[in-house]
Amino acid sequence: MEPVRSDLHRDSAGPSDGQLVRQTLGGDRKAYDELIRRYQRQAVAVSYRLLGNTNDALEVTQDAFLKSFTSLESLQKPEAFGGWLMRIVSNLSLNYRRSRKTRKSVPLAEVLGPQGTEQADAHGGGSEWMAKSADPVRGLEGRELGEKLKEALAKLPEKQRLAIVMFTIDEMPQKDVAEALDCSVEAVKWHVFQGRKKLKELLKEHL
Amino acid sequence: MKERNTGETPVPQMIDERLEFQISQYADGSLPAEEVAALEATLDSDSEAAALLADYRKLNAVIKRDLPVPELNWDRLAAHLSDVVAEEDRATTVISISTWVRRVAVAAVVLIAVGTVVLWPRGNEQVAVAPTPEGKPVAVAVVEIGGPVVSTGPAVVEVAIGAPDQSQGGSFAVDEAIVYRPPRVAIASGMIERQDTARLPF
Repeated sequence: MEPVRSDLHRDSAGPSDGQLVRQTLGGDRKAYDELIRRYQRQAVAVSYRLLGNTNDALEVTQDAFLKSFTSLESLQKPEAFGGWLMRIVSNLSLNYRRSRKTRKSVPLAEVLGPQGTEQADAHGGGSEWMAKSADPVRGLEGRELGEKLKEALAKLPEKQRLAIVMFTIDEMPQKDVAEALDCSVEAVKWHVFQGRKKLKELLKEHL
Repeated sequence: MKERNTGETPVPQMIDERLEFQISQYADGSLPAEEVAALEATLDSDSEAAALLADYRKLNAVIKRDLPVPELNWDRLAAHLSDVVAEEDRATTVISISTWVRRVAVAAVVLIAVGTVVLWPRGNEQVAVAPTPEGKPVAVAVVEIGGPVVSTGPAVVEVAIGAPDQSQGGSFAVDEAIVYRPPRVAIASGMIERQDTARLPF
């Protein structure tokens, strides 16, 4: 699986995140559109792995970009936009189930691929994507392990779960994860280590 | 927990947490450079440490593979998110303008009210104005001050000669032998009526 990186669609000669933030604050909304294109995949990935549901992940991603746009002036370090945005995504994901406010729905049919709607309706998590695998046996095993993995992740303490999702799975830079979790880089390493130990214990029968 | 076969009594080995933490960082590629050489030497000699590293790498592969990101139309999602943000931006701008207009209107009303109170002409009081030699009118006030009534008759004072009234029947007695009271006093030979004490008007 191709890692989700913040610079996946970023032109090496393009403006930095800090420049885009400053341009947005200056009234250039197209600069914020570029930030959306850079971080939407990572936002969806983090939220999806915390919530296990595509529709919920898209709703949280939309809310996160709205919230970051309206509170962009509060960002003290414009260059740290990525980690700051992921902090918003993780907080919204963890609080999502308690939210009762109405929101504009994401047109799921438009943003999913040709088979996405059908699969999203049938399954709420990521295991439906494993059905695309050419190996049916592996596909079945993958689905079962995927479900076990999601259950095990849900049992982890919050920061360990977030650290595993952001750093190990989404391969975010450790400094961005530290920004998102509001802790030091060493603390991120420790959370990843402790989370990995617990996952190893919870999944020892399936590995 | 494996036991090392060194030919002597096997001693159970357990990886301490510090070493395990180093192995975790090494699996992620985040172990500080100055610690890598020493850890690799340990991994070469310690099978249990090497097995733990293999377990961590396998776990990383599993969780990356079995929790994939949903395949989405990213261009459409970006366009949708951009539209939502633009809508929010427009709504926020409209609210800001309405608030600004309201504040200006309130300030204008306050200024008009204050100006009316301050600049309204006052016509109830009349001030007397007297011209000065220079031609500049100056307000003049006439004030009456009350004083004592002046008598036109002679000043008359009655003087009593003798023991004070307080001594009559008081706590002390005036010895007539001490106080000499002549019946009549003549001040000068060429007697003038005003020098005769019997004729003094007082």
